[in-house]
Amino acid sequence: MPQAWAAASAMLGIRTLLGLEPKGEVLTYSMDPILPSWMGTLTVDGIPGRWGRAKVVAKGDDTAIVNMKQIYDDLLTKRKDLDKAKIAA
Amino acid sequence: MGDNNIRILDGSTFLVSNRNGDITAKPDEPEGLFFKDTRHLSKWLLTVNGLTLDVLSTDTIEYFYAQHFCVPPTGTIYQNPTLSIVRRRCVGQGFVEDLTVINHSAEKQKVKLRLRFAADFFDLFEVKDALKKKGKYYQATRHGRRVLGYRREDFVRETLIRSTVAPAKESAGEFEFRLTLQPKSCWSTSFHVTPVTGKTVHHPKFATKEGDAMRRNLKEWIEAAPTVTCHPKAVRLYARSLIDIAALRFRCDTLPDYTLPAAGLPWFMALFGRDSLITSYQMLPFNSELAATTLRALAEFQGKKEVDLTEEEPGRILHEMRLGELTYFHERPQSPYYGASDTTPLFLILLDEYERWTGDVSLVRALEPNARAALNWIDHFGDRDGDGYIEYERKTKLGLDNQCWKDSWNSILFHDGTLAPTPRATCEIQGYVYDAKVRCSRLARAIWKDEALAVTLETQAAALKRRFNHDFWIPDRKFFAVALDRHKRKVDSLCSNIGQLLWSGIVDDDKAQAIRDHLMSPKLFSGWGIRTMANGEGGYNPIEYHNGTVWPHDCSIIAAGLASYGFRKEAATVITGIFEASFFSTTVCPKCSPDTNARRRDTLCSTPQHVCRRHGRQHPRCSASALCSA
Repeated sequence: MPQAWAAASAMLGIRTLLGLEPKGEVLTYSMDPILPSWMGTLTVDGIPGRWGRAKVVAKGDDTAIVNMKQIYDDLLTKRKDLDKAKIAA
Repeated sequence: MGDNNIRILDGSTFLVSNRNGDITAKPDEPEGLFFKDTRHLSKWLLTVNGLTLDVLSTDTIEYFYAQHFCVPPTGTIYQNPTLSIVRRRCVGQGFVEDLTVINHSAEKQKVKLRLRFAADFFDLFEVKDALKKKGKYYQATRHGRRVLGYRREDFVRETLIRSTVAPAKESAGEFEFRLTLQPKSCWSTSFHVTPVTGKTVHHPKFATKEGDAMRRNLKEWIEAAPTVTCHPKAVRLYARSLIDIAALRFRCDTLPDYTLPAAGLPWFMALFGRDSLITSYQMLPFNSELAATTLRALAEFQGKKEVDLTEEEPGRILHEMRLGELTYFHERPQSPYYGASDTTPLFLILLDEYERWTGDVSLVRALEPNARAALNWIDHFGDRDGDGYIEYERKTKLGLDNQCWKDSWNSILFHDGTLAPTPRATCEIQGYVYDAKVRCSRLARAIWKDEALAVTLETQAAALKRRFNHDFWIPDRKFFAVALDRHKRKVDSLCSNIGQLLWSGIVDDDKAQAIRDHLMSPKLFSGWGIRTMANGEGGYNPIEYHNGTVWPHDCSIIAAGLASYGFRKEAATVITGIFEASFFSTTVCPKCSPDTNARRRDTLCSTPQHVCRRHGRQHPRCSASALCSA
């Protein structure tokens, strides 16, 4: 069931990750954004304001984006480690 | 309301049905068609040859549109149905249901279709609290439509029901159709369900051109919003949130050209001061119209006089406005109700933030009298005893015990779990007041050209910050009391409220580190977000509304606060938590999530903290920032 301020939390979250702050007539953003490792590069294009429309690109760690197969392999590896640990105990 | 319900909505109209499209509302369940806080349909039951339909699949394609693919039950898996029934429904004021019956067989089929309907006209509060009605029901036929009506003195509500194909037989609460379907053929009709308030008939939008406008409007809303390019999960979350906000937009009768956000389904499809203000603040980088409309609408209903029942006071910003029967007859105070003590400073915060983003000085000028009235309320009504803090205590038993965002009765507790006596001054409201005064001093200087006011507000804000860091601080536990109680005792539960203080900037720099440590400790940080109350407190309950669950909006504000004090790594950890929690929810961002899934994990983000900026003031810990122009 949608709640407005819960849904809009994603928006304030994006603002904070990018460090977006208006300053005078321009929009400032963080030079070294901190993004979740799974996120990769985050681009927000068309941010409206007194500057017209602004685009902000936060370069994330694109190598961190994995596909389904990688996730599955990762799970299998972890599972193997777990089994080994049990045997050791 | 079970997860098996299908919900479609448009502003203050919403329709909750079973998966097969039927409505079989119990008195205390929010099922049915609701329009402006009143249930206009409580029964809507379709049978084919006397049988209730089985559902094959159902989809809510757009927030205002649902389709239900149904078959009559055959009673055995060995026999396939030869009929299917498709119900397509668009909601907007009333609703239009397009019904199609398809004969898949090579045989001619005779089908008896019955639609039974009823309306109990319950006020949403009556549904919530299962109360009894005081007026009289009536039924009629008018201009070829069935009329279900309810009257109590001059309060009249009706539901008009008509079928585009005339029924073979009709009675007070029933249409009956007798069809002869040729092999491989279909039959259809449309039902129009129209709510009436007093003498005003609200035609369903999809029976008029407005329906197309609604479709176009959603497209325009999405196209006007910034484009986000990122990991598919993040993009999906953004798109889903954007559409949820679109669904919750509604028009105020006095500002028909603009929309503002309602709080949420199902109980809160109305103007709520706090929810609308915070949602509009959160949305500012993506949409500023919501903020402008919210500010205008709340200014229009700003308190003018003192009224005990509604807790109206001059300058106070409302808590909630309802249009149902109980508020009409003053049996409930929400017409509007003013029992919130944070909405007034939040109104001022949004006004300043809106101008910082948009540069719309005309609205700031137009609302100057309202802003001054709000500042006056803070000092002369919000602060009831002249101790320099806003405290609240309800004026009647119908009012809210807690007039802060944690508005359940038992949210403000001592460490041992005992209830703090009222009046209560919660800490985050003092933070909002500090921020509001700092921001209004900027507006006074830059836009209202009142240097004296600017200086007064700066002085007051500085004094408030100094006193607050002394009066609310608990030295041996190193955090701020959640509130001061009737006897000015520090209410010493560790709660998420301390995080919102960072957002306001009221926390002394030498105390910020301790607040960060508490917020990120396993007692408060669950992995999905910051708990409303810390594990280990007497009142802690991981599944209780404000005493343990995690609320995304609270977390988003706390994260913004952490970042503004330079704790950007921690901010990202909190945001990541609420993002990831939403991936496991079917309804996007749930209102609050029980923290029973609490988990431990390594810190996700390891980039060094570097830059921050708040309110255009350079923070001591900040170094560089980048500029971005059009």
